[in-house]
Amino acid sequence: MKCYRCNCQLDNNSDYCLKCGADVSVYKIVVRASNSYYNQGLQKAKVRDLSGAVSCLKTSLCINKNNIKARNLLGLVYFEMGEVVMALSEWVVSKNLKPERNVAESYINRVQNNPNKLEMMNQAIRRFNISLKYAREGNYDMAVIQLKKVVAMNPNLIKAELLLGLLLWKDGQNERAKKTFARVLKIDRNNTLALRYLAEIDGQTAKEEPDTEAIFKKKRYTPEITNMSGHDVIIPPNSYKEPSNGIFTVLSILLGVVIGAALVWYLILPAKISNINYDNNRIVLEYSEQLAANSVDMANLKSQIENLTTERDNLSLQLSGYTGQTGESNMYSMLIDAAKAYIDYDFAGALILLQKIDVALLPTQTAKDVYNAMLVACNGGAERFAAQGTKAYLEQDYISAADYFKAALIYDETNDEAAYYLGLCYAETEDADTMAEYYADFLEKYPQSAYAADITARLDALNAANAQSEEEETTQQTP
Amino acid sequence: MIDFDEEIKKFQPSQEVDEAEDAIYGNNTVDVTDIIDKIIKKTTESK
Repeated sequence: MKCYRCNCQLDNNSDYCLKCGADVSVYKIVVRASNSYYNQGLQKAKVRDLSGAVSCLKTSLCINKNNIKARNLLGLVYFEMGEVVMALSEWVVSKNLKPERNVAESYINRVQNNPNKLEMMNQAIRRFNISLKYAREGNYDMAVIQLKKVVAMNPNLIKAELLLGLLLWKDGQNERAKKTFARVLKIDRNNTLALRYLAEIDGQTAKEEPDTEAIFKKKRYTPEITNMSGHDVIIPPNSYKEPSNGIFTVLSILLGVVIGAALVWYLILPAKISNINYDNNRIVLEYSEQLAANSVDMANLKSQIENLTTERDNLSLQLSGYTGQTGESNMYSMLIDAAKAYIDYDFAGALILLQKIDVALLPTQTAKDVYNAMLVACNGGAERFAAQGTKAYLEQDYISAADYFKAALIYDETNDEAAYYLGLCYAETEDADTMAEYYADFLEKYPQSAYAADITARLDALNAANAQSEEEETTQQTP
Repeated sequence: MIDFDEEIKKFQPSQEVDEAEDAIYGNNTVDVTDIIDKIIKKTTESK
């Protein structure tokens, strides 16, 4: 229990608040009385004496309006009686008094979370008010029609049931009225009005039926006696009696089983088998279709593979055109190397490289122009080398002269003059055997050359000199 | 014996949801503790 002034927890043994000093002796009595009425209300609510519970709980709240439990229970009872607004009112006030850890919040949320139900209950209340107005105005039929709808929408609205029962009773429909009041008593066991009306109806019914013995007395059966005429036919009773031997029963059962089995075999089983076959055929068909689809896919894939293979081969060919020995890339590489050799005045090397290049494979006209320019410049080198070789020979630089003449021969193998002067250089630098070999080679390559006679004479001179030296050696060796 | 008209008069209309606000505001009743508190205050003031 908490102090009504400072809300501090009160001591059970003290009549004063320990915090604010307020006299709480009477307050404690009041609170206990309120709780006592709450307990009574709770007991009555448990046995569905809703009217009694309302009365107790209202008393509890009159004594202590801060009794949250009593207020919440009162709201619950109102809701059960169909009075939605009164229930919500109690719960809202309860939540206001105690905002935290209050079950009223969950009740309110449950009502709000079901707006359709709430609207239906509101509609029922609205129709009840309209029907009450009709009843007060004397339009009993309209009121009954409305009330029937109200009762269908909200069967727990006790007021509507009571008013409907009253109107039905006034209309003389006592049984229906009694049923209506019985429904009220199912919801609210001790509803005063329902009990009173039922007692009145029962009293009225008892007055209208004074001879109650006649109601409960059973009528005795007396058979009718009639005279027969000549047209009546008398049918003697059948004296046939079925044998009560058990064997026939067993045989009958067996026969029934056999007939049942035959029916199953000839009627039900074929249908089952047919269904199974149908299912199997359908599955086979599905697989066939799938197989056909897969075959088509496979054919498409094969065709794609062939196309891709062809494309790959074409691309490989194109690639080799770029990167192979005779590819554009290689041609460009050799052209660049030739250009470098040309720039370094290595005309022989440049010419060698240029000879390896297939000008037709050069892709651009510029490359071809460069090639042709270098070729012309390098080809003219045969004469230039020969001239340089001659110059070196006259300067008695036989080794350089030999190189120049060799270079000249690379450019032009048919240059017999260069070959001749190369031979003259070899005569100054090489031994006799090498010279002889070269002269023989010259005569073989250039038999019609103007220099062939001179080379022949030189070769003969060499051969003679060799022969003479061999004789001298032979003479020296023999003592 | 039941007088129908008198019985009808006993029936009061129910409050609709639109009237809930008024019902909540009208719920502020005075209870016994309020009365006792007033009595104590009056007694204290008179002293």
